[in-house]
Amino acid sequence: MKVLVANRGEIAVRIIRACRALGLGVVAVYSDCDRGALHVRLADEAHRLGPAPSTESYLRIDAIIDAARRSGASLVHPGYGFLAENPAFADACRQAGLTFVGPSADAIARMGGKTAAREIALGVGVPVVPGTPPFEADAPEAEIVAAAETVGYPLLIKAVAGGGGKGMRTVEWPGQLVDAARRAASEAQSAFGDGRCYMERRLVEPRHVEIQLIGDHGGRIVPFVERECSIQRRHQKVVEESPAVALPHETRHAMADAAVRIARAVGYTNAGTIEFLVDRDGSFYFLEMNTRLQVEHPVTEAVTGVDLVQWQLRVALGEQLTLDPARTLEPRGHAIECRVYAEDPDRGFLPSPGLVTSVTVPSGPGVRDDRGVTDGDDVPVYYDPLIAKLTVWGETRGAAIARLRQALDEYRVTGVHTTLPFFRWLVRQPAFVAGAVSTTYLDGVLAGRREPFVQPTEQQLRDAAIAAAVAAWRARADTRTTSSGTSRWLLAARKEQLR
Amino acid sequence: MTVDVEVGGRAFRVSLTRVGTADAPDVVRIVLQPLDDPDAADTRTMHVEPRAHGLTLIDTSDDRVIDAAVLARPHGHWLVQLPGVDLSATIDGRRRRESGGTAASGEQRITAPMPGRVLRLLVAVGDTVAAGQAVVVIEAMKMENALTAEAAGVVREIAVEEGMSVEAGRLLLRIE
Repeated sequence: MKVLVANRGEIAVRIIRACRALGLGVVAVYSDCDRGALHVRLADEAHRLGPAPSTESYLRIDAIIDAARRSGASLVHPGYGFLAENPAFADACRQAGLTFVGPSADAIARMGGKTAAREIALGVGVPVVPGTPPFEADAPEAEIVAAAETVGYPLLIKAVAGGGGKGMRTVEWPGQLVDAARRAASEAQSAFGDGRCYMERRLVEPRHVEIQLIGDHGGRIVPFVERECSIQRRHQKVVEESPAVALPHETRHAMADAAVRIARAVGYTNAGTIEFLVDRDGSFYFLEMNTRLQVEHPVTEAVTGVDLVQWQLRVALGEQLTLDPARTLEPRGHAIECRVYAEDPDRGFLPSPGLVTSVTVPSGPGVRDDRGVTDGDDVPVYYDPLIAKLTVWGETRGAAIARLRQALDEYRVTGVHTTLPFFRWLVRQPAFVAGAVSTTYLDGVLAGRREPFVQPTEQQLRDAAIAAAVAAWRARADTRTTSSGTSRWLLAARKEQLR
Repeated sequence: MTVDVEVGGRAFRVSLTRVGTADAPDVVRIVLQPLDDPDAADTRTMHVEPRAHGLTLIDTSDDRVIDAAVLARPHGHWLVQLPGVDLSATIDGRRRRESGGTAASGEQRITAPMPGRVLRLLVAVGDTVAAGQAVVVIEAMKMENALTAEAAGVVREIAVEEGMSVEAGRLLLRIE
């Protein structure tokens, strides 16, 4: 039996591992710039989808269904992003006789519309953050302004189809509203093909806490210990941990119970996550549901020992859940994940696409690395710049932080810039160490920062000057020596020119 | 060979002489002279072990290791990545910053930091901009990135239009 993995990068690699563990064959798909990518190399077979832009490749439902037919795959795993929360894709899989590894198209549609999901939560007695109905991308200015008045400032504009911080804007005062709404709508249109947005009141310094769950086809729904994802940059999670810092035991169980009620209301199957905001007084509000595997699922796996992706596949194949909720809600130790992006933190986190010349991966007890690239791989400009996720586990949060520091120091990626220097800085911040953070913490401290995350020492400057001089010297020598066919420098340079 | 290297705001003159023997051919004598303090020159003899996209240097006197990934970039720029720190170096005086930098004349050239699409121009020629003000929005890797003016000035030239695809390094606008 074969699984078509309808994704790329680290998550495709993660899903391939789960397929292997279950003895399932792996069919990869790729765009033109990903032909030699790691997820392709790890697969049994690989099918071309189209040119590099995602709208012409990873977002093309017809091309993916066609690849599944040609390969004889019987399951399709969407990963996260791309088509993972597109009900039309889940439906197209079903119509083609393929098993979609995820919830039903109906459940995706009902929970994927963020405003409809809020109604469902209210219907089962779970509180939501006050918000507006959706407005169209070209809604008149007056309508947007009037809707904002009903919510009050500060507020958040969110894409109805949103996720990953795309199509999301904070509006502090009325003067910013219309421009922010237009920008959110255009970003939502290009990221999700749906420009509709809505507005929501912004709580003051809330924490982001979420409940992972998984449901089988016999109506069993098992919730997991919460994850905390309060460290966010521009509404994008960058550090996630489990369990949350100082969340009372009763709150955990109340949240898990609320999450299960919401999932049950839509007959939810497979893996999903219910996100909540926790206010300073400890009350929590339903935020949204992600009807798919989450980027940050490894922290849950680390503290429960459960392989969530294997369970996704097993449930999709009709197996019954045998997980004990008493165990999945009781964490063992503490886990923290850092999302490593190909971005230059010292230049405002600008994307840094290009050739990854080498990767030195940390290891040791309690250290896990999920990675989509290795030496010689390319980080294309067309997709999300997440290249790896570093997850550490420790008996306590303090032990996990100590391991995280060591692992971050060991981790080295060359050829492109990464957010590793930023993480080395972050994990030494007193607020992070104390766990005294909210969703506004990181943007707040970054706004006032100008200095680089790592200050080079005099020794490092001298070493760099020597290294640059020697490299330049050798490059010049190699261009002069035409007969030097064995020079590794020359071979490397020639390879570069072929790229 | 002697070159001038600027890195992290410091300038060094580096002289290299091959002193290798048949047994150890890749041994180089390196004289490193800070240009702001020429008397503080440091002479080292190092083994040079080239690797793909980098080199490992081992000092023959104290056996210290320098493990550097080195990548040539356009216009005499080099990216030098040591464990824990990424540094940009320029060799032989080609020190004009590629982007964002404020030249002596007070001119700022806002250039595309990566390939992408010009989503929105937020200013027009003749506009006065403040330091840190967003002037253009570039879309790349599915995210919108607002580029800002490093210092206050007046927009003198806009070299692109909205919707245009741009390569890394392409001049977007000029501020004086």
